[in-house]
Amino acid sequence: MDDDKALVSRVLGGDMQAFRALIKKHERLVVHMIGRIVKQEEDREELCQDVFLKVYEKLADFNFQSQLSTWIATIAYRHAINHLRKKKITLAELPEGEIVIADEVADHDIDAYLIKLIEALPVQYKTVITLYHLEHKNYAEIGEITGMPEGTVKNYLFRARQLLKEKAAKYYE
Amino acid sequence: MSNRIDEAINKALEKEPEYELPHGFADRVMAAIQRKAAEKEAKRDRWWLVTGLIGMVAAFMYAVAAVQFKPGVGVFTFFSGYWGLILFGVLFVTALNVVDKRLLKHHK
Repeated sequence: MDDDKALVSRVLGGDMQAFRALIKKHERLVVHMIGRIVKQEEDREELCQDVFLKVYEKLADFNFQSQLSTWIATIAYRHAINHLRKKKITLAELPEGEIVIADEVADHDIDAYLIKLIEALPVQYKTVITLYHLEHKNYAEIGEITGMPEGTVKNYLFRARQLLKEKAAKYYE
Repeated sequence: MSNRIDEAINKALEKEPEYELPHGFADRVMAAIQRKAAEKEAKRDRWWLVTGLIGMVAAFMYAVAAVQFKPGVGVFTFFSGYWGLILFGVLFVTALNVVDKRLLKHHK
């Protein structure tokens, strides 16, 4: 946190190398968020760039009430969701029916099968599991980033894991 | 069996997405920031220029109205009796330019 404070104050003082260091420090987080939510490869880099431009523009407004990474993740999430809305891609609930995964993947490798299943989950589920398992954010922080109540976050995590378990169990049958 | 499933799920959930940013991404962001700042500055300059022009036209119109200015040839009628002087002026300036081109610029 102190490290981030020093970095932010250097950026606000006009030190562009400090902003380069900030990008390096948080680009993995932005890549995880954008990479999981946005499927179109050609849009991802531009979106990641837009996220950091927004971070630069709004940095003076950041007041350290949350972690810098949580604030950046919030910007990345909103950018990705706005992008999906512009492209008219729905943020659907879990499908009632089967999630269909190509047979050639399912037949060979449980790891690849599960990765494909995660990719096929609705956006909000993917966001929640990415923040929880890859970024190690707690329920409150995930709620702050996504605007969901903590109960919904827990529910999404539980249901996503449950679905993966059911599918994996079928795989092993 | 259950352990094996949990293990596989945990492994899949903790696997990072395959997408990676290209090398030099930070440089591109920095360049975009500088480009945006330059665009902003140019926009501000344009705004001042347009405001200045509008202000100048408004001031001119106000001045014309305030002094009840009526356009006329006015002071230029004075030159009508000095054609020789005007001709000399034109020739003199032309000659100076010729000398400047042939001698001084050639010297450099």
